[in-house]
Amino acid sequence: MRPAPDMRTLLRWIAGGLAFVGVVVWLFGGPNRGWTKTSIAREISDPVTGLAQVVWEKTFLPGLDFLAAALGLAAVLFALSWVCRGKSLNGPRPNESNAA
Amino acid sequence: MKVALTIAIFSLLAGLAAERVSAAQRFDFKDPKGVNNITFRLDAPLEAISGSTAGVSGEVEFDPANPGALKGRLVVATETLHVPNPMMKQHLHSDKWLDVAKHPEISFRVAKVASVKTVETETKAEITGDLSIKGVTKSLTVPVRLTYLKDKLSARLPNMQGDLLVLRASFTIKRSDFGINPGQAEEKVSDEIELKLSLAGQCPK
Repeated sequence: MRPAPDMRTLLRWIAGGLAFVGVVVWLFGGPNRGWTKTSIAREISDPVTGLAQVVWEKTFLPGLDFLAAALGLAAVLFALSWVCRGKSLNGPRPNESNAA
Repeated sequence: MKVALTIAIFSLLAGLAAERVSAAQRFDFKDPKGVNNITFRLDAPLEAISGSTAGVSGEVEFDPANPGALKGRLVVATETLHVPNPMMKQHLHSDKWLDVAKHPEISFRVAKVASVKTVETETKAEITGDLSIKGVTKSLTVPVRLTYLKDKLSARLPNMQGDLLVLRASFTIKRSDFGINPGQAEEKVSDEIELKLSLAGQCPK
């Protein structure tokens, strides 16, 4: 049976996953080099007056702030993993119990 | 006989004058089609902050034969100002910026019309008026383009007869002039705000 990962490894996996998901969502969402948006303006010309009507369509467009937040959080988790001791979440590792 | 003739002439002149006055039409700028909008743009380091509002209302009196006599007032419901980033929108409506709760309206009242040039249905003019934002009123001169569309209301709103008045204007104001977070965060958001008005008023018959 495989031993459960220790806290350090778990944090690193979460950090890596978060960074990966953040980059993928940002890349496939645009990639938008501006701010994150939850609506996008579309212009429709009014045939009678010739005015451009601004219609806001609800959509999620991740921006650089989203990417920075994802990578920043991943970096924090990765840094925390260095602080954590490499101890198993389900008690001591088999080799640790043997040593004891 | 002479007195009667004088009275008749004065009555005729008064009638003509009254007709001249009544030739001014009242255009309602609350657009049932929701096309009317004002867009705004502020420079910012990462990306310019652009937004718009469709919450425009107000009335303008316009005489196609005498465009220089234009008068009226336009109002924007402050809470209808929209930007695509929710956090920015929250900041924009907050007490530091527009303070929507205390100042629910932005208004512009026409005081004077100058440099009027009319070609067929299109009039270009410089309108001076009082712009009120966040409780601060400043006099402002704005170049506008007016297009009078006679009997075009039915094309826009079926079952309604009348005229349309299209108003277009682009100009810049400074947020510091209106006490909108003056002198603060100018490295993040520019002091200058570019405004573009695209409005149509209707005058049903």
